[in-house]
Amino acid sequence: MRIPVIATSLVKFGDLWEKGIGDLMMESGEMALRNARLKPGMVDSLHIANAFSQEMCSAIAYEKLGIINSVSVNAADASGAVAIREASNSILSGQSNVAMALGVEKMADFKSNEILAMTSKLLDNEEFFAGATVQSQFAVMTKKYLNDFGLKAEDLWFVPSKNHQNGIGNEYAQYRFELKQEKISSSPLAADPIRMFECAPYCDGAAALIMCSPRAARKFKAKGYLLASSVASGSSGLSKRKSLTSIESTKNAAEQAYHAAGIGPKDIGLAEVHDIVPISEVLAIEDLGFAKKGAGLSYIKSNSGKINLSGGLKACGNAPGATGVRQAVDVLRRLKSSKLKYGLAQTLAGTGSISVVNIFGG
Amino acid sequence: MTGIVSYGAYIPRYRIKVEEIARVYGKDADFIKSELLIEEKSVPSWDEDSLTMGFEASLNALRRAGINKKKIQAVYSGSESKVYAVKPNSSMIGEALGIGDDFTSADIEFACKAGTAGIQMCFGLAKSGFIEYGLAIGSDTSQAMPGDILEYTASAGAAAFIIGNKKEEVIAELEEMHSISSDTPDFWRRGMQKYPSHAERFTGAPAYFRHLVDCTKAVMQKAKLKVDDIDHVAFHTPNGKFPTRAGEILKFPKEKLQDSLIVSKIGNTYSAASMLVLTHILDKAKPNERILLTSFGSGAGSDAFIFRVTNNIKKLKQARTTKSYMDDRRYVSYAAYRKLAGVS
Repeated sequence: MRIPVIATSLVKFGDLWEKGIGDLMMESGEMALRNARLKPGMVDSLHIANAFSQEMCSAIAYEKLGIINSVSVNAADASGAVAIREASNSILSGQSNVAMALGVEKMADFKSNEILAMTSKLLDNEEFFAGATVQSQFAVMTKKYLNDFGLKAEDLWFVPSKNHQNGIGNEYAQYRFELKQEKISSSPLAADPIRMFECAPYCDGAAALIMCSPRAARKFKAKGYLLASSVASGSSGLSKRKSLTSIESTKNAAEQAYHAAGIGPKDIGLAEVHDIVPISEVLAIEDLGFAKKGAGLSYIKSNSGKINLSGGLKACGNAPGATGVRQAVDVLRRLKSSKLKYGLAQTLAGTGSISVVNIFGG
Repeated sequence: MTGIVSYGAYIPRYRIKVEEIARVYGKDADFIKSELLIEEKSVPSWDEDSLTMGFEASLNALRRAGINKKKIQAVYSGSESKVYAVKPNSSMIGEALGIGDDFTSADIEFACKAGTAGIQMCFGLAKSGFIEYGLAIGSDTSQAMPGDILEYTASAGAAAFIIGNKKEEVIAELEEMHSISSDTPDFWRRGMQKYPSHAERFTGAPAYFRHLVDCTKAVMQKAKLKVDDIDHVAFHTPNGKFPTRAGEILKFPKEKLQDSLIVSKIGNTYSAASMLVLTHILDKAKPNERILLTSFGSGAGSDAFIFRVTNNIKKLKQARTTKSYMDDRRYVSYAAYRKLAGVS
């Protein structure tokens, strides 16, 4: 599979008080259309990723972008990454010559307790009723990991600190400042041992990309290629998992994606991974096959110029519906401006109930 | 010449520390203190409310002024914690002060800037010659839902200003004023609701900072003044962090903003907040000094004033200073605080 990507667009993530969901869809969608010199009528299918707005996104897309054929995709934080897969499937099936994946989210209008309720509801029902949150479940995984591999909580502070350092140069990131490890240590516990400044913040944002069938590619200029898009499900409940120090769905999605692309982890030149908390980045690195179990953190330390160059969810902000598309756009743009051949984006829903691995070629 | 003729402050004696509230909710007190720049807040006693505190502050203003109180012809009281939903604080305060019947009065509501709106109204009436003196009060016993972040700051206090137009009496001349208003839903409380709602981060950039910073810039531009021309700054103080940040944005040196940081010891006194900072400044201000005051009220708007202190300030009589109220404090437990908050 080698699907040409003919346009990308990004809206700067943040607390976008002045913009509604329709404004964000229009801004990112129009930017992508302009980028590919396309008219709305030439888009055969639009796959809109949105996790929490509960809006009729297709109707908004019709009103704001004039695109008739659209469907909504909801896979929590992984919505954007799944929308890319759905758009690619539409092309592979011959249904579409041109397909757009557009991720959009408005989180800043929700209060923090509403966000907590919405995101916790995506966990296993029994664990949710027992009071679990996304952070508390990751805290359990963090404790187990620290215990198994002889690490201390503060060893993981390198991860958000590194991501903030990377985010400084990203004009689309919400928080473009240095985050020293001392600052993390002074922030309150979110869920022991995870501290507040280790958690990626929820925000507003939008991103889009347009792909076309290889047949239609002659008419457009390719910005890169989608080589594989795999989604795998896993248990949402921690109590139902075989391991707390590995995310099975990421392993499965990665295996399928590498197979489809005909490459292995060693071929990947840069990766955007789901760093909603530090342990999720560490586990991603191991489950994607970049490092052995227990060696994820040291791999991240010696490859800080390879993982989450955008700043990750931590510095960019996490606009769930948009995040997966944002990661893809970031990988594609960096591949284009470098000599690297392959890039990868990994996105989770919740604590790994869904994982998506998208592989791109320059 | 129109300006301030006298002023008075009132702050309840009880205090509760951030540590005590944080202890009850299992929160990190040091983090809250460093994020909000707040240490403790005032707590009204069971027999204190916006009426009694407004009266006390007004009484202090009368004590300082050498004027005939019967000539106060306007009383405006700004509060978001009025004692009655329908029955004005302002007329009760006027009656209690014994200023006679010949005065207009009304209660004003605009979240935390209702008090400065009253000052503006008095300036209008005094400058046009309709009244000799006007009394403008900001007084609040602000509410916070148990467990809400507001609980660390929502406090109680009052400030009162007598406005007049006689050159020999004005202690701080009004040089310029400016206001801005917009429909911004950052903080609200509907009728019959006990506690206010707020939109968390939205209360920052699009609400407090946009209005207060823009209004300050506008009044300084109108008065053709630069940062160097201002000696003291009184900003609205929802916490210590917001006025500090606003000062940085507007490039005021820290020492000029120092008085606004009384918030760290008394909390956010809502309608009284920026007005209490002004009383604290006037307690030590010298002739010819220039003072900038910018209030902020959620909903949202800002009133900005530029005052020039005159020689008359030396002629004021003694009354309790704002600092003496700040220093007179007794700490209460969270349980006692809740008991007091429940009846106030």
